[in-house]
Amino acid sequence: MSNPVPLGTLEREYLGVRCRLLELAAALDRIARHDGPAAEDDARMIQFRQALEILADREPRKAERVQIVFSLPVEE
Amino acid sequence: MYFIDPHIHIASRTTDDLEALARAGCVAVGEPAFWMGYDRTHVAGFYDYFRQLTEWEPRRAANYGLQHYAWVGLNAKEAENPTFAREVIAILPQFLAKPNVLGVGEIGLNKCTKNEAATLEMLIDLALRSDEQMLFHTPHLEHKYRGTRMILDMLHNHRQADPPRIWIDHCEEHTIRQVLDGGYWAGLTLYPTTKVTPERAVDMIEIYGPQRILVTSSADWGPSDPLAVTAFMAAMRRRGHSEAMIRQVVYDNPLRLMSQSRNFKFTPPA
Repeated sequence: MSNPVPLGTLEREYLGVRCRLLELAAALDRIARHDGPAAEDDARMIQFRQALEILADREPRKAERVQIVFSLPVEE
Repeated sequence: MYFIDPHIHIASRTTDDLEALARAGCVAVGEPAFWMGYDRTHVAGFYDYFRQLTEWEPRRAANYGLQHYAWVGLNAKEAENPTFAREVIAILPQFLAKPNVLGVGEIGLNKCTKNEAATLEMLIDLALRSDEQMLFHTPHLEHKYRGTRMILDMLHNHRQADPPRIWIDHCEEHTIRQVLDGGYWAGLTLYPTTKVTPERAVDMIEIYGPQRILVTSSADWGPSDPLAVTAFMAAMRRRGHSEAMIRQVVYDNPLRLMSQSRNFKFTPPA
């Protein structure tokens, strides 16, 4: 099976991704406004920042890597 | 709690939606003239549409206990041809005199072209000469920031323009501050993808306060929710805001704005 045309997918996803980024920005503003600077050092905020770094890099498998950020470590 | 949805395109909604609105506590609606999803080719198309907004839709809404008010104007998407625009603007005064019409709207910009701006100037001029309230549509997406600035600059150049009688709609996080600072009413329209979600509308109320802010569904023929105002009310409650504050936004504020139109003859629920 051939891959979908990348620009077609970008076209289809653009508005939805734009919307979710705005939602994310607004939610982070909301946390800062309601919980103040104390929230910045919360472990969950650190997870958010790690996940956002994954979104911003140019590497593949973003969904899988973000899932790992929010997962308990596995004992080998 | 009773509420008013001052921006909803009833002509694009079914009677089931009207019934759902009434059941949810909506007592009145405002319906601005807009782009119906296709460009009209003759001024007669607008004439019939304005008749629909001023004759048929009030009757249809009344069947469900909803008081229906309208705004008439030439929307920005069909404002590119100045000759055609002049023909449409020429028929507006007869509809401004209809008993349910609150003013000129929704007018504004789409791609912020010179022709759109020229048409908008004609519409502002008509509204000011007729002492009508105005409802402005600000552009979508990447055009919004520039288009909102352009509209505010145009209004600033009209000394007779009275900000408390002007509603700048479709505000978002990057435009609401300048609208409120100018003394205008700021509209937040609740759309699933392209404008403001209920949670973000609550954010803006928390940041700027409830004064001079209108929250509406703007529900039309595209993806939209006629009960979006109730989703906003639920989000306000979830965040612990008082019933008085919610009522101010969804009932008192629209009432205050609409009451400034000479044709607004509202009967409060018993």
